[in-house]
Amino acid sequence: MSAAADISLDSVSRHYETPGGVVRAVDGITIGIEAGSSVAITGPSGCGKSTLLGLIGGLDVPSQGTVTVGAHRVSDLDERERARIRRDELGLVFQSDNLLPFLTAVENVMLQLALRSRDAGSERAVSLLDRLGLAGHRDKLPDQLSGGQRQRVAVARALVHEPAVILADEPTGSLDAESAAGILELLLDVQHERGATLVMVTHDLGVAAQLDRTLALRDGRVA
Amino acid sequence: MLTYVWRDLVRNPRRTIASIAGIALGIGLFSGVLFFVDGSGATMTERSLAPLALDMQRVISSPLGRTLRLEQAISPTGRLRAGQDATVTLRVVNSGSEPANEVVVNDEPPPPLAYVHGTMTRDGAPVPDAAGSSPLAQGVARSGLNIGTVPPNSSVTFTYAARANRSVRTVGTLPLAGTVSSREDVIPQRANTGAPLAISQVRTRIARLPGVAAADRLSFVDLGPDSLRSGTATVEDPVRVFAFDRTYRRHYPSIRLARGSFTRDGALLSAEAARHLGVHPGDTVQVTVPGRAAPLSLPVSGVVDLSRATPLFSSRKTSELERFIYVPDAIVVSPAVFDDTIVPAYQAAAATLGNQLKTFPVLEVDALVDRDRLQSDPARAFAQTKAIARSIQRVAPGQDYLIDNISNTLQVARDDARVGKRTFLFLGLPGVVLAAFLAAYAGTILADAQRREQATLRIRGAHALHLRRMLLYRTAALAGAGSILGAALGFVAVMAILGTDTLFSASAGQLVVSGLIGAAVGMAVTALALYVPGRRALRREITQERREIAASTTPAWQRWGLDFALLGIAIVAEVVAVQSGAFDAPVTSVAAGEAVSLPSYLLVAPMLAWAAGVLVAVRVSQTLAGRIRLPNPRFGPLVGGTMRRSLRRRPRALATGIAGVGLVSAFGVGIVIFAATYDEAKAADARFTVGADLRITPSALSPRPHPPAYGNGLRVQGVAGVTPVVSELDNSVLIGPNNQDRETLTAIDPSSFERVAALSDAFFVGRTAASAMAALRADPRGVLVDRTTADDLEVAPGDRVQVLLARGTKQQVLESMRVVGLYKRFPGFPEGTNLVANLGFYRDATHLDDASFFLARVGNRSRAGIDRAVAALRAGPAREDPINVESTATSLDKDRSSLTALNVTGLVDLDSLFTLLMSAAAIAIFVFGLMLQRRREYVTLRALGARAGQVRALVVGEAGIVVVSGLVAGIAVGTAMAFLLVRILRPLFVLDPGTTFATGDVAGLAALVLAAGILSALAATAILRRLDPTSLLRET
Repeated sequence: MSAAADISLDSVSRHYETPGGVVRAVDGITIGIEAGSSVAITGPSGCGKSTLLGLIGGLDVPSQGTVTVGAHRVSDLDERERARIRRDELGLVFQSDNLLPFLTAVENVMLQLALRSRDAGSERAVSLLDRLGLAGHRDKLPDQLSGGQRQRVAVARALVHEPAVILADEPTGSLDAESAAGILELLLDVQHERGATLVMVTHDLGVAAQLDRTLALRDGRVA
Repeated sequence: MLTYVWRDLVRNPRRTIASIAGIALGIGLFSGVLFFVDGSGATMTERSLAPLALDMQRVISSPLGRTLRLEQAISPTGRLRAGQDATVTLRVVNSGSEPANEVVVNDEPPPPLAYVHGTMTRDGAPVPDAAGSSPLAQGVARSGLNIGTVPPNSSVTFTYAARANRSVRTVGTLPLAGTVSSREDVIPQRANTGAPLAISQVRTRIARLPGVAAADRLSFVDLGPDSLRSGTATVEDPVRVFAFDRTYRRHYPSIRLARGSFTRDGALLSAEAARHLGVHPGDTVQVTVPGRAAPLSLPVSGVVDLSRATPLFSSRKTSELERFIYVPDAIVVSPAVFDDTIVPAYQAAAATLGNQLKTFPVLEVDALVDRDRLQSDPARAFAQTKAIARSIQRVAPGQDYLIDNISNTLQVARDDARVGKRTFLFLGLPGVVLAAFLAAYAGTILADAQRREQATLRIRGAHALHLRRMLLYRTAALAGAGSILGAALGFVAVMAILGTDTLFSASAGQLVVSGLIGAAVGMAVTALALYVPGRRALRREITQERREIAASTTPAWQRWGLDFALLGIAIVAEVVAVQSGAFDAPVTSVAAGEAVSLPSYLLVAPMLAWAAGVLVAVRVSQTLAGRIRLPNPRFGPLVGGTMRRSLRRRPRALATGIAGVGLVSAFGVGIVIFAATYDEAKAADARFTVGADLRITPSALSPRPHPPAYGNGLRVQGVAGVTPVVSELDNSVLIGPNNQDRETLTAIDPSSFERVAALSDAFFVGRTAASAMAALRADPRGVLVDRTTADDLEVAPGDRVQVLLARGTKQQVLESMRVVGLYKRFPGFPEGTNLVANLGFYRDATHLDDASFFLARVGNRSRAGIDRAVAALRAGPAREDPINVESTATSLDKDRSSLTALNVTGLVDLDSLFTLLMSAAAIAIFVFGLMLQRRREYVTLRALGARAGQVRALVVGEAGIVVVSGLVAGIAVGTAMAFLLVRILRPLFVLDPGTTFATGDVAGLAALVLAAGILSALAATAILRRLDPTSLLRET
């Protein structure tokens, strides 16, 4: 398992040039997240939550400011290095499961390991899926699974390589209450168990309340 | 709603361009072929008419003039009741100065009148009936009465009674049918025809007709051996006397004046005749003419080379029309001399009883049609020349007959053009199919891409009808724009390939119609191809649509086995065609008035094989993909493991791409092989026609002999070997066990001929070319016999035969020879030669030493190599002795069928251009479609930490598999298609064209397609980098 990582954002802005003018999706945010803690990012639609998560995950780079994850100044790294950090140290879960449709459940999980090693075995992926209650569904394709099962496979994929940081973008947004509760419980359990840092974007204040800390955004700034 | 669709199209340019590109290219090819056919029509008219020696010949049917006429009358001319009699009077008048011999009068009373038996009188004396019927209409054949000789300036009168079987209102209007003929004028002449027009009057009237550029008199007569002399020198062979004026020579420039001048009073001698007599301009020659007591003495004003004068020596016989039958010894006199001296002499000779004239003078008016006025389309040009021919026939009807060479040629060209258009359309039809395929493919991707937008519209209240109307508008816009763009693209491409002059030689109407057909067909087909997948997508539930694997059910064609069914039909069609001998159509010739025979159904098999072959290839690729082994329980390397699973579990996702690339590349490969085969066949035909790479014929103007050793001097730089050939038309007689016939014998030196000539084992029956030459070498008295000749004269290999060599010359000699082999055709003699003998033996037997021509092999057979050798010959031997050099390059301009005049290379260029563009479009549509469908997968991989190179490898890998699979399928299917397609070339060539696999061209095509695939994939990955993963991954 990777050691838990601090996350810090210093005067981070992300602006987009559009025909209607400059859109300031994130506008000068400075925050620090301690290693091993869990943080909920809340706010109305369009306030910059997902953009912020993308900046932390290195999927995007800030227009200004610096983003640091553990020892890495992500905002200064090239795409190749950022991809390495995502592969080795980050686990990403999205509102949509984003499973590859031609891979079985276990292969989707093994994919994350294959990204790191040329010879990814199935043992760790199988045990994780078993733990997530998907023992009988390992060899099914995503289309053969329910929405909740698919999301659990996506969580397993995000956790299988034991990342230091888990980034979740509304992971329960498209699920019913029961499945959502199960997914949240799973993420928190793993986070506590492994001491990973969890950053979760959510609209649901009830979900946010279960995390260590809540960061409310409005118009790209911390409210 | 229109506005929404318009904005959608404008604001999603990539989608719009992808949809339009395929349509525009496919329709571009189809329209291009239509425009190409229009433009090529002009080439066909020009090329088919180019070798034509004479456009139209009006031949006077009574060359010695008509002095005999028949006057016929019936009385009364008014009403005649049933049972009443009328009197018919016939008066034969000879108004000439010579007696008319063997005069035959033929007549029957016009119905409802009938001859009254026993009423015939001649000059008042009764003439008995012939076996109960009228003496003027005897027996079953209704033969006339031979009244013997009618002296000059005298007449003979017949009368007879004719009874009306029923009432006749006006007897004077009944058609009279009396005719008269004589030994001097054998063609029966109708009664009461006016005085015949003189040939000069006929010429003047024809020259005035619209569409006639020129009309010139030509007269000639063949005289026997020893008819031409000068002093003590005599021409021992037959002589032909021509009469034409200077205008004729100007209109037919193949009559070349070598020395002296062409004066009104002087005579021109052919170079051969001048050489034989040893005369020069200024000398005098004597011509012995039948019917003339003293020879005709003429001053020689010049020497003329007639060896290529096709208007003079083209056969006038219908059985061998336009065949060049050369008479080396000829003299040209003025028309006045011919009319005033030669014709009267023949009149006198013909009128002399007991005189058997072998030949009669031929008097004709040769008309040149104004070719500039002819339409470029052979069919329209044919209609024009037929109209001109009808006008010419209306001048002095019944007095002569018309040989309409130009209409005959254009009729063949018209029929050939129809075949050509059908063939070309077949080569263009794949364009429509590919346009439809690419449109349907783009339509599927478009529907996929619009899934979310349509869902949003549905949520906002749009119902199915709204969505269908939007689909209709979008389809109409894309198909319309693509088709119009395609038609324009086709036009521009053809303009670039054919050139503006050729393209615009087609009428504007033709081009507009072709453009409209191209755009309309394109619009209809592609609109359907775009609309159907869009409509299907609308019917599907959005959630269903997202399930890519579940949704990709087995396509209908695969379920129903359409691929195997089509393949089966193609095989059956081919087998039936082969069994029925459809590919064995005889080789045709414009000169022989034969059009190419090419049934349309022969084109069905290649077309079906093309579609079915690619579908079978797709099925096979899916089966193979389903058998890919997975490295369970391990994942394996990221790229390899991911790609293997993707290919195995969703093979159909790539099938469309493989089908697209396969269809386009199969078409391209088929066309490339077709073109290579065509070129090869054309070159082989040219070598066969020439006999070798070069044919060197000593000029008629050459004063020196040309023994076989003369060939040594022709071995200049670039010429690797020379062989002498002796051959003259009908120069021998083959005497078989039961029959004999005049034959054309060719004498060769077997050793050098084998090294030089375009010999092929396929030419000989039951033996190789080498063994046939060895047999001639081993047995000097051996003779090879043409298979048909052998059948006719019932001779077979091993038989002893008698052959009269050098027939018609003083050296003719009868020799015993042995048949050593049979052949089907012989190089250098496309019209055929009956016998082939050993030159050494021929020379020993006849003591004739002159070669007719020499064949030469060049060291380098490329066009440049041949040109260099020809240049060396012209610079060397030709300076010392005039020679004519014909090469395979010049022979290519003398194609047998006007269909081969079609610019197939241009068509192939057009097809190749569009093949490449369509390949690129198909690959680009596939790759970008793949990107559109799988961008979330690729972005997910990136989000999970995949390196850019790994994602790129996945995209390029899948695209590469599609391109390579499509290419492999395309090359296999294209080769098979070409194999079927080249069979249709059989009737166009003398030699059977084998399939030529153009390795270099196919490899080049494959490399370009592969490069297009890789470039498209790299461009797609560049776009991938620009996608916003954060927002894309949030999409549900």
